[in-house]
Amino acid sequence: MDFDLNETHKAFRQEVREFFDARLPDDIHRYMSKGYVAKYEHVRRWQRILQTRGWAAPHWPKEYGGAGLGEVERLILLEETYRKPAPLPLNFNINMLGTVLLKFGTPQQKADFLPKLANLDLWFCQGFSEPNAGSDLASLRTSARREGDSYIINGQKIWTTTAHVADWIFCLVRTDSSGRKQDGISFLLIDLRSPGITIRPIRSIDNEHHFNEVFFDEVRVPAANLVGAEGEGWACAKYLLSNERTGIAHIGLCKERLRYARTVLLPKTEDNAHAYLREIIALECEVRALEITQWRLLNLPAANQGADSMASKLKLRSADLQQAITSLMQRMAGPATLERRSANEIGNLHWACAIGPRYIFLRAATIFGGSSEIQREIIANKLLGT
Amino acid sequence: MNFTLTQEQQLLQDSVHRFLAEQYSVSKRQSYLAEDDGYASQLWKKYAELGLTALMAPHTCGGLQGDATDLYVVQREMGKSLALEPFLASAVLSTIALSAESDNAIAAGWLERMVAGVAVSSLAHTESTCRGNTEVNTLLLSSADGYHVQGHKQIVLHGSSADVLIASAVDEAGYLIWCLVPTDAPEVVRRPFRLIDGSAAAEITLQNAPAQLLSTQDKASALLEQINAFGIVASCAEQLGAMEAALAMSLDYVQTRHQFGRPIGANQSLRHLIAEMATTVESATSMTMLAAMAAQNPSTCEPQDLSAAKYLVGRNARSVCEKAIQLHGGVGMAEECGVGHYLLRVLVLDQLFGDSDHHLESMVAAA
Repeated sequence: MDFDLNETHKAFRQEVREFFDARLPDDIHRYMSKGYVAKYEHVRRWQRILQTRGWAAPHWPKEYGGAGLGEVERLILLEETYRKPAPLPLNFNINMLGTVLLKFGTPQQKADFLPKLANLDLWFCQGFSEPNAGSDLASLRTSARREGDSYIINGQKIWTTTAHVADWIFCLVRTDSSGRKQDGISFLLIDLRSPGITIRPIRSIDNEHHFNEVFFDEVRVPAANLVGAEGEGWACAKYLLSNERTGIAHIGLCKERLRYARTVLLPKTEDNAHAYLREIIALECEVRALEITQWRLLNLPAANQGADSMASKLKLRSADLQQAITSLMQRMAGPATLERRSANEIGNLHWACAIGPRYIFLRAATIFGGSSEIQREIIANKLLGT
Repeated sequence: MNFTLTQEQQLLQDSVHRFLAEQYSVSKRQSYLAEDDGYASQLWKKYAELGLTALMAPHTCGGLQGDATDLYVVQREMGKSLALEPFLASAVLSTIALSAESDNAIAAGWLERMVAGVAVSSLAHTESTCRGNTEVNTLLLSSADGYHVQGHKQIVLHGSSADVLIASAVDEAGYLIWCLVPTDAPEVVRRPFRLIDGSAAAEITLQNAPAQLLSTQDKASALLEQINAFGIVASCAEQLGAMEAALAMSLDYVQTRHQFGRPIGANQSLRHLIAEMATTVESATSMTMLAAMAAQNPSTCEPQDLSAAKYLVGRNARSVCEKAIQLHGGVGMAEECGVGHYLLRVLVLDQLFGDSDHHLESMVAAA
């Protein structure tokens, strides 16, 4: 065993740090240093700067706009992004749709979409969940009816994060309801400017607009936008979820937040500081364990990666940790978190401005991306059978 | 970066696993516990035949000069079987202390006998059962007829039957030193007892007992640190093995035990408890590997990694072993079931080399 990065990887980390120091716009850095999640405009601006080095999708082949780098470099970039902190490249584009297109896309789809995903020329959002298809995703009912060279879409998606800023949506739609419910699902790319689409905002309890409902009424989509074969959508979705192992644990985010708790919040606590410090350190130990687990997962041969449902264990523990960290920070900042502040006061952000909203928003950490109950089922199924 | 065992380490793991699986069952273990020394001396001879007593000893004394990863591999298997032999006391802690002075002929002589399986040594360091008290007050006195030690040692693992003690003391100038104390002297008075997991230990009074100087002022503190580092690796690894075995037993039980006409493992509340346990074991695995790396190659780790590991593994082991009893229901409370023995063992292991709370607090103090 050996836990040290090799010299090439150490040099890469240094190169990334220098690039981030030189190129991350100051206004973005200041905003994010207060603990806010990047604004959409920040994401767009920074991803294009990153893409000058092919670092928005570092693990993709160069011909599709990637940098042809390995998983370790990808994780180093991710860690440095959180550490700075800088905006993450758009997850929907890079880790979700990009992953699926690389595996299931036609040569034409890859050439058409991947470079635009990397440079954020197109902003994609994800259309999976429906009002009656949450954890039981395969029950989805949004239908796609074939008419000549097109599909006609009818139905509704919900919890569609960033649909209100996105250009396109990748959707799971039902192309067949005759057989097993998983078998009639297809993966389709839809231009959100298509006639018949209505987007309605859902305001969340952190006083922000992340989520939306998306309604489809006789929306016509070219059949060429089908990814994989008709009926192969469930396989695409499963592939997308099971291959997500870099970044699933948000280690860097946890570390950055704990550093904020130590350096900014702790000096402001007039009482109970020793107890808070003990909680911070206990959480740092948990994050350290998760960090090693993540590296272990990354170093497993691809064939063994599903073997002990390590990705589910990571997601489960990481979600708990993100909640524990933001909850601790909210308690530490206490009264300063009570005033509802606007995220638009650029340049004059209060040190506690993001603490309350982040705590509240991350109640969703154990709900989205496969709820903790679903993760526990996946782990138990591996150990006990279904 | 590499998280895999070498081929040799894999072989070592397999052979120790096979050996202990053959030698141990709940009922066999009960019979070993009934022996005077709290373990079967015949079995200890087999440890020597397998080379386990040689694992941490230097080449010059017939040893294999194993590293912290080798220790992690073996001690984890001990945890799975709840092995009772004085491996930790003699072949790890005492051996590491003696190895630091293996050019000393007396130390080398003991090492050779320990490697051969004909002598057993215990580390006599702790002096108080009050938590947080790590003071050493045992005195080393020098006179015309050599060195003598005067003091009182608590919870000496296998001290009840050890042939020699590696004892910490302070010299007349107040400096920490280590010395060898053969236990056949009448000035070594032992009160043997069993720990809550059944394993053997002793309270030992040294009434001006003859001693040989082992480690001098300049090296004694570094040696204590090294003993603690390897002790933490051993304790974490054994706790990991214990929780893995407790989880495996629980998996088996919930699939065979039927209530309401179906296996109790079909109930989601139990399935999710199992998933939490498995996730908790995963974190402990990572931290135990980290502890081995921190002991072996500190420059590649963070300074507090050993404490972080001891803290988290201790806390996780307690949690998993408690839940394992819960999953067994009333049966889990029965001595003959065996699942509860894992909790008893981790309670002992957590207290060695600073318990979870101690290490958490030491990280707070260092912040």
